[in-house]
Amino acid sequence: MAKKEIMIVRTFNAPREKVWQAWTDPKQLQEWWSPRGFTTPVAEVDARVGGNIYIVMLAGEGLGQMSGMKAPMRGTFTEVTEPERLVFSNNAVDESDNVLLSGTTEVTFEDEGGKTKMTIRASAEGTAPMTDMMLAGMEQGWNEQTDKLGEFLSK
Amino acid sequence: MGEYRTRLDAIFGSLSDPTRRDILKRVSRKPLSVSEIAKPYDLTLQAISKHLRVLEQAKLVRKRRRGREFFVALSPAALRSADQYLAKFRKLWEERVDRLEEFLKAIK
Repeated sequence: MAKKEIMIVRTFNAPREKVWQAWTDPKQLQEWWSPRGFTTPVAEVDARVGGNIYIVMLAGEGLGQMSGMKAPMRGTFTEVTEPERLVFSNNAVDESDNVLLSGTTEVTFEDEGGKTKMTIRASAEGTAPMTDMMLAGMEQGWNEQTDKLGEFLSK
Repeated sequence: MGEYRTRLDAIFGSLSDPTRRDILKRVSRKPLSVSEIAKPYDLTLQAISKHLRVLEQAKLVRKRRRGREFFVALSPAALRSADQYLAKFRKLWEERVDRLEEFLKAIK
């Protein structure tokens, strides 16, 4: 699979410092990082160049058979310019720390008269079977295939 | 749906083996001939062919004759799945940004 990249731009009605803290304070990041139905029980964010980021998402009870499944992510900061820019590697790993998908996340924060324009560039690179598995986990999480996915990921 | 499940079963089955995962990773970069595929492994050509058959049955790779040799490449179906994955990946980030927006409102 070739490297794939997405870009998302959003303006928040909040000053840059607040948005910066939401990203770099692990307690705050835990409040918003996971998609609906998931929680973020583990967040370690050492926002300095060479510092590590380690986040575990956990599927909640509302997700049926997928519930209890963990999705860990691990990476290292390569650029940290407070409160303007964060760049870190972003590797989805299984529970034995094997890399399933690797990527880079770049976030910039621009001040717009007290508001903050945030731009995210996130890339993902993986092999076809891994993307199939991730796809299966996200899309077909409601059926029994997920058990197999869970088993595979925990091997 | 049934078809999707069968395909997933085949994918999981073919993924259970580290050599097959490695072969898939290599041919996803560029098509390789069967002898090129076999080179790094301490396995007979027959064993390699068996692995390739499993990957082919899961529709992860496609084998084509080019001149005197067979070349193995990532299948169009596998590439399509990769595109679908990208759409999911975008959705995940969009939802994350939505939640960040809600969080920023709440802490005001």
